Amino acid sequence: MSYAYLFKYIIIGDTGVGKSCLLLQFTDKRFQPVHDLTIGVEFGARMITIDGKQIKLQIWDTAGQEAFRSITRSYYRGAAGALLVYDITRRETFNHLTTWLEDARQHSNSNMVIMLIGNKSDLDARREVKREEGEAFAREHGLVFMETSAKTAANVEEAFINTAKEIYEKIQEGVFDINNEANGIKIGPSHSPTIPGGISGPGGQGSAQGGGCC
Amino acid sequence: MFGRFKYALMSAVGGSELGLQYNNESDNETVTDVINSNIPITIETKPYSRPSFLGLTNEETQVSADHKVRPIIVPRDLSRLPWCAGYAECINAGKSTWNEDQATAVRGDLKLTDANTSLPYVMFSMFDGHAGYQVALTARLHLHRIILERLMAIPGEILLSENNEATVIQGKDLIVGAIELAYRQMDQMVEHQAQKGGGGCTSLTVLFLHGKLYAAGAGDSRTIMILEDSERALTRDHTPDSESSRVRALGYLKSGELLKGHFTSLEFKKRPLQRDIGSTVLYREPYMTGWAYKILSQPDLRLPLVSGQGKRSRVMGTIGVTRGFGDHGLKAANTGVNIKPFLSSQPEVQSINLEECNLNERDCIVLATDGLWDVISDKTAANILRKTLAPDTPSLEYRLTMGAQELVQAARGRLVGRVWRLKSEMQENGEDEILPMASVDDISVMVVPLYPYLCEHKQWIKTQQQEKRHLINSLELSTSDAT
Repeated sequence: MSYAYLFKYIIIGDTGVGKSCLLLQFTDKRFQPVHDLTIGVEFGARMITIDGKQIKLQIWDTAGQEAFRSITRSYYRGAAGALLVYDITRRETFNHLTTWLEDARQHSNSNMVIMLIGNKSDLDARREVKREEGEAFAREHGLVFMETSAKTAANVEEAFINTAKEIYEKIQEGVFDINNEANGIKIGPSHSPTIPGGISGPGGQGSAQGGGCC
Repeated sequence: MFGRFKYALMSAVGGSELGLQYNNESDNETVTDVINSNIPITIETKPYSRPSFLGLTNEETQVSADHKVRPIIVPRDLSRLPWCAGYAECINAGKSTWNEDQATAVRGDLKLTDANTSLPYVMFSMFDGHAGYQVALTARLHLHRIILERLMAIPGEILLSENNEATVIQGKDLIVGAIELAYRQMDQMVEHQAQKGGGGCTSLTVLFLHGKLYAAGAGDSRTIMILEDSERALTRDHTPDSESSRVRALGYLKSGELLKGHFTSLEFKKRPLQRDIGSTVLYREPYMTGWAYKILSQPDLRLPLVSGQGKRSRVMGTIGVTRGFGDHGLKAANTGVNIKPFLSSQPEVQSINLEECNLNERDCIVLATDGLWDVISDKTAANILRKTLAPDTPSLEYRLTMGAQELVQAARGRLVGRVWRLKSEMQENGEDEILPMASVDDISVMVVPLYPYLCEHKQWIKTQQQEKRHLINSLELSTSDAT
C-alpha cells in the first residue's frame, strides 16, 4: 500500500501498564485481557490519514521489565514518536516516568515527539494517580498528555493520531530532516519530494545526545 | 512445571515446517533410490522467510531486517518451540539484505518398522547461510524430513537395543549413521540451487531420541552444553585452520586435478618470496605436526591452499568455513578453481546418554551461529545464561527466551558512533577505554532445556512397561479362561 510518509513509533513504560494492549487496540481494534509478558520487541502497523495524506505508522512495542531496559534503549534510535505509558491505578508506574523520560531523551533524536499516556481510565474506582497530576507532569516536561483505556478504546485512536499530527506539523515547519532516516520518518515510494524540510531545520541535528547514527 | 505445555505442544509442533506428518506411511524405498542413483533432484525455490515458529508476517520480516537498529527478535508464542525452548536472533549490520541464519524445530513420534511401538523424538536445527539465503532456507525446510526418513529405515529392534554385549551394532551407531547420510543427501539436494548462486550454509542438529541426545555439526556454528557448574562444546568448529590437514591432504593427493597449478598444499613457516628461491626454508606436508627443511623452488611460490589463522583462515583465499551444505558453484577468487571438492557435508556427531547425566531443571544446551561465538566465549555464554535462568520469576519458560535474548544482546552490543561495540567489562570507568568490537554478523541463539526431555523419556518407559504388563496380564487371563 502506498503512503506519503512512514512514522516510526516506540511504546515505553513499566511492565503491565498496557503497552501491548494499546497497540492491539489501535491496530486490530480488540482488547485481550490476559496478555503474555512481552520479552522482546513487537511490531504493529496501521495506515492513518492526516491533512489528506496517507501516513503509515510503524509501531515498536517494547518490554517494560527492568531486566530489558538495556535492550529497549537500542530501539529509541530512529523513532519519530514515543508513547510513554503509565497505569492510573498503580502509583509506582507514574513515579517511574522520570527515569523513562531521561532514558528516552538520552537515546533518541532530540525532535522525537513524546506523548504521555495514563492508561486504564476505565478503572476509575481504583485510580491512584489523579488526572491533574498527569497533566502537570506533561506540562512540566513539555509532553502532550492523554488518558486512555485500551479496554474500552477510549482515546486510543486520538493518542496515536495526535502524535502523528504533531510529527506532521514539525515536518511542515521544517524541524525534521525527513531525508535522514535516523529521525524515524520515511518518505513513501509514491510521494513526490515537494515537502519542505529538505534543509535541516533549526536545531535539527544540533544536539549531540549520543543518539542518531550520523 | 512443563506439564501444562506438554499436550498443547504435541499438537502444535507435531508436523514439520511444510505442514506434513511424517510417519510410517513414507516410502523408504524411494529414499534409498535417491541416494544410490545420483538422480539430480530439483528443489522448489521458496521465497525468503524467517523461522516459522517466530510467526512473523511479511511486513514484520521487513521491519526486523533493520540494519541500523538490529532489533532482537524472539518468538511471540513461546509454546511454538518444544519445551518452550528459548530463541532470539538479530540481523547483521548491513553485510547482506537479509538475515541468512535459519532455525527450525520439530517433534513427533517415530513409527518403528518392525517393532510394535513408536518412539518420541524432538529435533532442533540451525543454519548459517553465506553468499545468499537460499541454501540455508532449503535446509530449514527439508533437513528434518530427510533425517526422519533415514531414522525410519532403521530396524526398530536394533534401534531399541541397549548396551548389549552380544550385539555388535548398537542403536546409537545407526542413528549417527542416519544423520550422516541425511546430511550428505541434503547437500546433494541443494546442488542445483548452489550452482545458481544460492550460496551455502553451516548446519547444527540436536536430536533427542530414546533417552539420548545427538549433537551434529558441520561448519563453524556451535552447540554447547551448559550444566550447573561446567560447560563444554558438543560440536567442533570446521574452519580451514581446524581442518587444514584434511583439506591440504586432498590437495596433495590430487594436486593436478584440483589445484590446477595455482595452489600449493604445502605449508611454510614464513611466506616464501621470489628472492628466497634456492634457499632452505621450513615447511610441512599435510598431517605433519612438526617441521622439515627444503630448498625452495618455483612451484612453492604458488598461493597456499589454506591460508590465515583461526576465524580468518581461508581455503584458496576465498571461503572461511569447510563443512556444511551448498557452495557447489563456488570458485576461488581470481583463479576460478573449484572449491567444492575441499568442502564436506559430513557432520561430526556426538551422543550423550542423558539418563547417566545428573541433570537439573536449568541445565541446557545452546545452539548458536558464529555471530555469537566470534565475540562471546563458551564460558561467558554459560555465565550469562546461568545468571538469566537463576531467578524463579518469571517462570523458566520465559527465562529460556530471555536467556537467548541476553546472549544475542551481549554479542550485538550497542552502536557507539558508527561502530557496534561490546558492553564494557567495567562500566564505571568505561568512558575513556575503547570498547571491543561487537559482532556485525547475523546472530542466532537457541536455548534448549534438557530436563523436560528426561522426564518425558522416563514417562515413556513407564508407559511402555505398563502396557507390557497389561498385555501379559490379559494373556494370562485368557489362558486361564481357556483352562
